[in-house]
Amino acid sequence: MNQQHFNTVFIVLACIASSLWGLCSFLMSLVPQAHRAVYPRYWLPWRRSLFVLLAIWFDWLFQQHPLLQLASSVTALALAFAELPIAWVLVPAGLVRTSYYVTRVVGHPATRVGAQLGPAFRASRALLNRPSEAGAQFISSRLELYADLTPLGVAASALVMLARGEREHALGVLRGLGTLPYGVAPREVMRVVHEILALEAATRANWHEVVEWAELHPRTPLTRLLEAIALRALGVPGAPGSFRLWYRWFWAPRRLATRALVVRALGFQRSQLPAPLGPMQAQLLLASGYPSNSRPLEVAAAVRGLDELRQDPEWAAEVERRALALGNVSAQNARSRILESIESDIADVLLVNGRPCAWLPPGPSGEALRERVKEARAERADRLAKELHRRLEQRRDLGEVEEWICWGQLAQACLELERDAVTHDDHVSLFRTVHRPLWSFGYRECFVRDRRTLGRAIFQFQRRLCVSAKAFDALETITNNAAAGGREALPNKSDLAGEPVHDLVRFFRVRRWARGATAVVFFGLMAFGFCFRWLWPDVQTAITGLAMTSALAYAFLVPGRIAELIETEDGVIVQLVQFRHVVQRRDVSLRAGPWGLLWVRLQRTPYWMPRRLWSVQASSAQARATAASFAPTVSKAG
Amino acid sequence: MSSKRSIFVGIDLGTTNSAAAVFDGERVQLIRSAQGSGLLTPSVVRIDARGKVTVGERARRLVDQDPDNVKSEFKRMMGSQQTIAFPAAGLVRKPEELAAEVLRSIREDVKAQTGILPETAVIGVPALFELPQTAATSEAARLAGFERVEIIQEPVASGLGAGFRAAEDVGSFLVYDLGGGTFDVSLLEAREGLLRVVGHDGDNFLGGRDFDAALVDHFIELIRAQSGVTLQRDNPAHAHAFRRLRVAAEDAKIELSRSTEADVFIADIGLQGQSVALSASVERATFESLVAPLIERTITICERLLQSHGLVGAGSVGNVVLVGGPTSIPALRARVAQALGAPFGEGLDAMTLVAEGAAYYAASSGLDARGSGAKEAGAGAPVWLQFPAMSSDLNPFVVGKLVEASSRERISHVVISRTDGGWASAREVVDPDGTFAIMTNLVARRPNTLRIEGYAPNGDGPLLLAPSEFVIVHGVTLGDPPLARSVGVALANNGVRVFFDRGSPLPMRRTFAVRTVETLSPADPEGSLRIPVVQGEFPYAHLCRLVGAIEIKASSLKSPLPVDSLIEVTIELDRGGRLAASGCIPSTGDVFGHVAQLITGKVVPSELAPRIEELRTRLRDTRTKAFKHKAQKAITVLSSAEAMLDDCAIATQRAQGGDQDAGERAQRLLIDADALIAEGEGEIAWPDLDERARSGLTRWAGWIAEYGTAIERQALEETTRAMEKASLARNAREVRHHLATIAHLGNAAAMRSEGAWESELDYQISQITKSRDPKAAAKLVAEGQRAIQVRDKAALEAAVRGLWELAPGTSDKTRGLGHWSGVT
Amino acid sequence: MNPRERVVDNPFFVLGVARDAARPDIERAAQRLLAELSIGRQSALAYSTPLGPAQRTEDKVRAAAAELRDPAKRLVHEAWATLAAEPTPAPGFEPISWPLALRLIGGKAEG
Repeated sequence: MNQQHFNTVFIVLACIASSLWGLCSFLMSLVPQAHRAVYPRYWLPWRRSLFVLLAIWFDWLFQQHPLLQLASSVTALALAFAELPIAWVLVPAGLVRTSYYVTRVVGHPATRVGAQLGPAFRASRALLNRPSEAGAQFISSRLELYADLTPLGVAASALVMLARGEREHALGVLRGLGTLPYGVAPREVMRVVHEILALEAATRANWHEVVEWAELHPRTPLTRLLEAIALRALGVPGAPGSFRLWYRWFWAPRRLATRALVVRALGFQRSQLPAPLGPMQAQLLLASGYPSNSRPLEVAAAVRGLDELRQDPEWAAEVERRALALGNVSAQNARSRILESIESDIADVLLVNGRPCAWLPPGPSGEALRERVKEARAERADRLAKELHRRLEQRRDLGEVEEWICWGQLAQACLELERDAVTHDDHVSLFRTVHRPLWSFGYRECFVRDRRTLGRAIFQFQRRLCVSAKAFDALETITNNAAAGGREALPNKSDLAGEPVHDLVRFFRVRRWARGATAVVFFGLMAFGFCFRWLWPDVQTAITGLAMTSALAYAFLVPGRIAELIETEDGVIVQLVQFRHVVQRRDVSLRAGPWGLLWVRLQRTPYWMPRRLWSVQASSAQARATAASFAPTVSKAG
Repeated sequence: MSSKRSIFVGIDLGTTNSAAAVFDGERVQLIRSAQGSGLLTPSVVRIDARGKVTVGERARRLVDQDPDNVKSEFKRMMGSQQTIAFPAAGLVRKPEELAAEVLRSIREDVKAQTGILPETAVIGVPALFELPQTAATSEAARLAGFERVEIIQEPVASGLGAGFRAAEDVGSFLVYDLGGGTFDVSLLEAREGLLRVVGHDGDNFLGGRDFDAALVDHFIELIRAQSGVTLQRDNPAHAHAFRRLRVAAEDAKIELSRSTEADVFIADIGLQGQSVALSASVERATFESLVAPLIERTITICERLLQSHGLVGAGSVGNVVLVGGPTSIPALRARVAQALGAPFGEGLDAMTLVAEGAAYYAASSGLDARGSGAKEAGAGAPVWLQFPAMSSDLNPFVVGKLVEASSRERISHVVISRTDGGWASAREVVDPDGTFAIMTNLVARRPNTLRIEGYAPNGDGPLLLAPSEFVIVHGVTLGDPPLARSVGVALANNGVRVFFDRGSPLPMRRTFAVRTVETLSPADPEGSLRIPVVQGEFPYAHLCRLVGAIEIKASSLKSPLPVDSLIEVTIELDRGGRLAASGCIPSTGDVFGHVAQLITGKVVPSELAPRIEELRTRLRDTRTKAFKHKAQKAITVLSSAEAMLDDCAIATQRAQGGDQDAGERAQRLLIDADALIAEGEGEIAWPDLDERARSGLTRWAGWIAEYGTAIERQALEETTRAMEKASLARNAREVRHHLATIAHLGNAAAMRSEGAWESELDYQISQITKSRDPKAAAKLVAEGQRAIQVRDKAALEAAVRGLWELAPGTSDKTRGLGHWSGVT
Repeated sequence: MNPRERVVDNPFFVLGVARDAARPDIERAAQRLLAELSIGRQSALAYSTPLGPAQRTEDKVRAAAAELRDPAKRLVHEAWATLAAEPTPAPGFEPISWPLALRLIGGKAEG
């Protein structure tokens, strides 16, 4: 087809697409509280199509200069499908800023408009490849803009810590993320979380834990490989053979590095239990496996040994003899102390690594140990819950990352108890233990501090416990909370009265003007765009057309971005057409512009809140005064 | 005595008198006071107007002339913040400094009689001294110029002294140590020449002074009879008179130990305004009748100790060693002999036994008083020898190391032989690293001089080594000095994590992992984690004495420390009673040092009375509960606690009269009573909880039956069942949770009743002052009242809920009790 | 005190004395070891346990001697001292090193 037709088709396509976009955002802006307007689901496809169109257009534009043509089109296409270059080039090369900005431009599948969390996450992965304080600073400065770091943000901060070498702290955060149910967090995040946690367990030779993490979805080639190796290391029946091992190795990353490991795993033979195993010898085996390397059959052997020891006449006689030899010593006490210490050892092995009580064989000692372990765990969960409750009552809030750590600990404790719960009463007591603290924790995080993701995770977890405990008295309210936390509803604060920092009448006039003007221009240009083809069918017009349409499209965001600021003692209420959010004074920075215009810059706001806003004052003098009254302000780069 | 021989110095720093002994390996020599007060140096210090310090006998003689500037019995104030004023010189001294004066004079005496100014010594302290007091004693020794001291407990020392004197193993024996101010009784056991403290008991506030006090009371009666004047202890105006009476009583007491009658005459007991004379003659019988109850107290303590170690009835111990001045009272000796049915260790001077024992201990732990600078260098290859200066073992090992690498080629074998020619070892091969260990052979109960020689690989020799000779004394030794009171870490739940049990040998070092109970974030500046180190035998932290604390400032952390993270706490105790503690965070490797605060709080008498009252109330309602649950054991415990509280009240009254000692005593009684009451509460804790559960159930079930939904009723049934089960299993934690659940259900139901929200609003109005944000609360209250007027139920609910949000958090009382510990 | 410590720090292993050693022998062993440690004798720095060799320190020796002085405690420790004869159990699979783990998640090194 000839250039004429191409020109026509292209411009029409461009106009229609951009107009649709503008129309949608306009309509949505009329619906109150409709976040879908600002975070259209078709966002990423739209950007893709935009870049594809660009590629085609470049291709057509630079026909005379083949080199430029090739370069530009390729760049556009690369941007259109940017996941691959980012994952294969930028992140491994450790280009923090580049991968950040590229992701920023092309968008991240898991985040929405304006959210810098997805880019930050990818940047942090790059940072892990080439740790540098500058990069870490760069990423954390981005993360500071958010009141609600979604799992992406939390994971990003964890990776930053890892790059900084704060290993334990980072792992605490990741464990917190690891307790999230499937589907809450983006796959990309959970893959990384599971990989790191499984690897960390492998560094502690805690192979059971490796398997536990590795079999969680989403699985990755690396976790599959680790799982296979762990099974070999445990020497359990049905461990993968050499073929499966090599197959998984083939798919896993860093083959050169892992090859030696695989060879080692194939060569390793776990020692089997000696056939006649004396009670004390069983203890020795258990001790040799401590802290994390003992298998169920060793624990079982130890417990059985304990049982034997309990009613073993000649052992008792032996102790008696020695007691007599040593003088006035009660052999009875000695025996009970020995048995007690053995019991505590076995309990220790189960407790330290959170092993299931199912490992304990039936029998008197087994039962006693089961009770003991269960009580110890319940006690711990109780302690954590109490501390949480105390902290909340005293309103001693922590940074979001620390909150995630606390949450992770409590959730872990609960999960262990839940796994050991056999009777209905176990579930009931577990739920009753953590119900209240979880309730107030979730409520505060979700509704008071706008941390929807964490709050939602808490409520969903609580709901699960509630259902398995059949505690219907609490179910309804918990469900409501979960729903409320799930919807990106307004922060449910009671109406806050306060002093508006500018003159409302003028504000509304401006807004009305903006609406009207944009509407007129919109429809005008719609028609105008279609006329291009017949009036001036050449390059310049095409360019102008494109420029105008995109400018027009952006203009539609303007009314949505004009804010009314109200000062209250609880902070500054920022009221938009659709959103209201209360920010602390230090998180607002104002700059006075011409015609009483105020540039408003917010930080530490939820991701659904626009960050760059305008406000209008009666006069530029007043605007300057207001801006001065807000200074000094904390304004983050970016 | 030549300085070639090493000597060992032991000092008994007593409340009233101090003594010192020197042991040279063969015989022990008691140091006589240069002021001719015999073997004893009175622990009395005087500072006159020119600031000149007088110590000992001379100072004691001046008690009557110038009582304000002559101070004694500062020992019992050691380790406390109290200071002692000398008005004449306008000086203020710490007890340690006065003790240092006494020690310095003793040091001088030792120099005068042995020609050696001792650099190191062993000092005896009462068994019930706690770390602050022990550390203060070490400090006093340092001030007195000793470069190194070790602390030994008096009963152990006297036991060592007695055991050393005893020809053969005496088996188990009892040390009955009645000092000026403290009574210690300890059960020791000597087997295979090794002395072991089986256990000890005692009363920190029972001693010769109480005997005097009994006599003083007698005098008061006499004075009232003679001149109708009534003296009150809590009247400061009478303090001087009491001092005089006490001196007189002391003399009379000593007199009565020898003769059957003592005459007391004071021309003027020194009351302002009037002159009252006291002239009386006290018969021994009267005195004995006066002190009989005190003696009985000591006997009961002895029996308690014996019973606690399964030794019952007379003759259960092989030997009884009497220590301390008051034990010379004939009546006391008779009663003790009759009660314990064991012979007294003969030939033992009750006054100086502690000093002797301390000297022996110095020898057994190789504390050569000549100090470090006394290594005589001889010709020959230098060898570094390690051997016990004193050994209870007939075949101790001598371990050595050839210091110079060159000599390691030259010398391949080493031989040790006794100079008396009785024994010589085989040729011992020297290890490549120049070390060797040889088992020697000693003659029992006397110093053995041993010669050491080297032999070349080709067998020629003997080659000279330096030192070529050394001495090992055979005799009773003490393995390691035992710790007097358990040391541990206070926990957030007011519990104690014991690190060292009482009796564990010093020096000691232990590491335990504890978990934090709150999150520390570097963000908040005032956030900090506290790990208090406490000493005491009680299971509750608030009853144990705080001897130090590890502070972890949040600001000093790099990354936040989440709740429930591990901290490895290490506590070290040396033989001088000095404590070092440190906390390590394994995840980051940061180590936090120990902030010492080794001082015992000053007792403020005015603070004691309210605490007594508080305890009485606690006692009362605990007892009513105990009667309700028919907890017999609890009732008996509580009655004894009440008796203690009565004593405590009396002691407090005295303390208000300025008697520091009584204050200390009152404090201790208070603590003991508290412990007993806590025990009683523990006894009835379970039945009480059970009872609370039942009453709660009956109370809430009504509401739920009336206003509850079907679901709530079902939940109630379920929870009730679970609670029954838990109470059968006696699982208090479970029961509490279920009770809370029932209460919540009941509340939910009750709030549906007519006028519930209104009354709740009224309640919140009454609580408004405690609200977190009174301004906002006031606003909500106003809204609520408006809502009531317009009958807007929703608005009312909203207001009340808002008020609930603003309600203050629960105060963490237990944390306060546990010395604000941040770990569990 | 965890299971491993219970075996490794058993006083009988620390002092290297037999389970039915007499008290004087134990005291002597302790005295000898303390002396040897104070001069840093090579042969005294490590001792063998059923779980492989372990480091010997003065604190350990002193504590061990104290434990064995108390007959009641000694009787308890004897239960584990019976293990001395048995051979060391085979070690488990070597864990992955942390640097390798970092490389696998695409990390270089800890900051």
